[in-house]
Amino acid sequence: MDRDRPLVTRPQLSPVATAAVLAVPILFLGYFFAYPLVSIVVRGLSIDGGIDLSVFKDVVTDDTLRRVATFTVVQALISTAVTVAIGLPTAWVFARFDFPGKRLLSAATLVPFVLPTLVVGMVFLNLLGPRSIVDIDITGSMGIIVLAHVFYNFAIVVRGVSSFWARIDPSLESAARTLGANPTTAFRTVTLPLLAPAIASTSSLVFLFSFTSFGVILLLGDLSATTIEVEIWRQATAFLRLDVASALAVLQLVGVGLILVVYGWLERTTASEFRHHVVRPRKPSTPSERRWVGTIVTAAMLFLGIPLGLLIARSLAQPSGGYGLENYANIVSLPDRSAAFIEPIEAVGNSLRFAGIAVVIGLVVGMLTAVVLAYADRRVARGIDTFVMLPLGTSAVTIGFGFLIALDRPVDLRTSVLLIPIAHALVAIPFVVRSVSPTFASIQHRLREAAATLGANRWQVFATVDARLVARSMLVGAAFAFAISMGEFGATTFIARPATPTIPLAIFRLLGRPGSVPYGAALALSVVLLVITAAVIIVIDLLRRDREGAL
Amino acid sequence: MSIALNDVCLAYDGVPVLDHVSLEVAPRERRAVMGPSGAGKSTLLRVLAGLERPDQGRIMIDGQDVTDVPAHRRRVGLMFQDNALFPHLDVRANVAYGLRMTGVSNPERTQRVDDLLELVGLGGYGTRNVASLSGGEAQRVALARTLAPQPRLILLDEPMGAIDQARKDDLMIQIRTIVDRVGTTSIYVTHDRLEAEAYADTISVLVAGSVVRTGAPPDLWERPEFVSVAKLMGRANVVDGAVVGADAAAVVVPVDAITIEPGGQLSGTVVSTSFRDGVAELTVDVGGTNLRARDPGGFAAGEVVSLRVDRAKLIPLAVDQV
Repeated sequence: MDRDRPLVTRPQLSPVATAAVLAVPILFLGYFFAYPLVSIVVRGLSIDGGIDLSVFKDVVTDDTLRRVATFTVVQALISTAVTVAIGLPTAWVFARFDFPGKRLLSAATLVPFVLPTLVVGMVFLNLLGPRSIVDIDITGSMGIIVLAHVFYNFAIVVRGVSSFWARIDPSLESAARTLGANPTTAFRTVTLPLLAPAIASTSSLVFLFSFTSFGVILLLGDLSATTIEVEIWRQATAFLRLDVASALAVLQLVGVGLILVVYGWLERTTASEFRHHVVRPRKPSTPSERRWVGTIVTAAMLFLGIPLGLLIARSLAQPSGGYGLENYANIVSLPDRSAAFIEPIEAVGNSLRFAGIAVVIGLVVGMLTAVVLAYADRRVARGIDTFVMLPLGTSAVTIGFGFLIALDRPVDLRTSVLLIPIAHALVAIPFVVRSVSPTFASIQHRLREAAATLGANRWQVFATVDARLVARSMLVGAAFAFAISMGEFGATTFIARPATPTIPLAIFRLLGRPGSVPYGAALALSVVLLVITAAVIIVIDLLRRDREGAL
Repeated sequence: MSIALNDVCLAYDGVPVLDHVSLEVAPRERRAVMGPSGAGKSTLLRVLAGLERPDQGRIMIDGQDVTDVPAHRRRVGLMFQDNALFPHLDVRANVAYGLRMTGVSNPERTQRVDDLLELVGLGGYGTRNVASLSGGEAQRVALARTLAPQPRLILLDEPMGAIDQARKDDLMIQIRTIVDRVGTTSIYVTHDRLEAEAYADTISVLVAGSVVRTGAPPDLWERPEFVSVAKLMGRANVVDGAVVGADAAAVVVPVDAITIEPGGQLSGTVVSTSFRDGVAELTVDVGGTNLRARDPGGFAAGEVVSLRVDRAKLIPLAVDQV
């Protein structure tokens, strides 16, 4: 052994062991992610084996598709700007102040973000759609789409910016004040430039999610107020134009790739910019502070609470009049359903089963990956990290569409019901890895040294230190995978069989049927999904008490 | 400029932090405010700088009531603990910040910044990143930045907090010299008696939100008047009066008031022998209270000794909480 080498080393995997651990994640992601993606690109760029860009030319010159592309970008830009503007004051309150109910509000901001996008769509359809309770229908407008996106992405800005803001020493702003800057100038010249990396990186995430928005647009948009994501789905499923859908998917992938490059670059800046100590939030002390904190907290609660509350209230309004649980009874046994339609309650069973399988797949692949990230050679780890994170940037529709056109070889898997949890696991794996690998990385080496001085050999050190500390974040990863699977909609639309719908699919189908009974059942199912995902996120938040600010 | 605080009170959540504080500082004076941590020292500075508004009381600068003047118009410079240099600006832009805010035009600004960097001994450091500065350099940049907009009063909040013990004396003299050269009234806050004595001619002692004593260092040493002041001044043998048979509730028993010789009024057990600041000392347990005395030599721990106390040299104290 080298004399310079520490006696208690960070456990490190040999190349052979690395390859063995990596085999499963690589094969899984290779066949279910990379191969379908390549198939889309090939399909989009070629006809009958030769390279042919004519579809691209058609897509780029088609007026309708150009309008769709423009709308996609413009709505994403507006959604991002509004989310940042509305999120900043709340981020400030979270970063600087302690107030009663802070933990609850912090968990509550996460609820819309983990809400299935289809349920977010339902929330605003209920509020401002054709059956609106206030009798205003603005579906198909920029306004309602931006509103839904702001509601959904609020948590990203609040959490991402506030955790960064808390690390900025408040003395800096005080210093600016004593040097002659009024409060506005002090914010503009000191705090804002210091926050810029966090604002930029969270903005690019919000932009990404709005850019590839599917469920929200499907319920709240129309033929012209729509995104590329929805257009891919429409071309592939309604018009069966797989070539046009492929070309659109390739264009969207290029756009997403650009956003991710910017995001990655900004995130590195955020991480390295400076390392101040976290300043403990304090109680608002002056009357004006109390007024501001009170106003902002109340506004945030109303913004999040009113739409959700009205969805729940509306689900209790019975089609036969009055308030009660009729809509929920209809989930179990829907009156006069058509022969091809199953009971909505079966969708709940399907979703739970799929989620269970998705959690297992996600954990196996995610944990193996996290082990490699933590213990393999750094260069290998970096490459794997990028590869595993790619599904996060790939839109759900693209994943489902890829399954549809690629997974008929070597055996035709497209009719297998297992494809649904596999697709869900693909979306969840990045979250599992992101939940677990920071814990691996943050294990203080001194703890391993302490264990070693107490008589543990290197494998005992791993079992008693590393594994124990990771167990909790593994639960967080599992909870994420479960919530994602329950709400996944974009990929599932391509691969679910009519006989095995998930909850989001059942909601969408119910909305397509006339009358107040199916609509009521859709509301009730949405609330069921809301309750399940909200419960999961609260569990996650409790498990991560010590990781303030992480998404 | 003369500074006056009249009966200033400030409470956070009903807990008083400043409790009827009154303080007067003469023009061009260098004043130290010394107190244990949690005494309200930083809050006092924030109130003076206009970053906090007192619940009651007035703050006067040169006869003008500035209680309601916000920080950015008060022209009071505050040098923060840990300096609070702007990490996104270089050294020059940090020093120029206050000049920009007060609307000093560009050519003059450049000149002033250069002069100030020269004054603090950092000529040529203008384009340096503030993260690359040593503790002492960062501190001098912070001083230059504070001086730039020509404040009427300079407040220094524990400026030696992050400085190595070995460098403290030099830096202290530098800061003192620079502040004297610009001739601005200043208030230096610290918990450290040696720093307070080195910086100021007059020390105000702040305990539990109140100024309990103001005086020159020898005065505070000889007549601390309060238990808190005696302890902050580093006096040995601050004990209950009863221990040495005095009438006062508490007293300082100066080390040179005790002689170890047979036939003294007190007897005790030697706890330890030590060597402190060039003098051999004994620590003697007298009825449960430790007293320090000159070691005449030849004693060992555990021995019973007799102590003679010269009552005339006792310094009576009022008991306050520390």
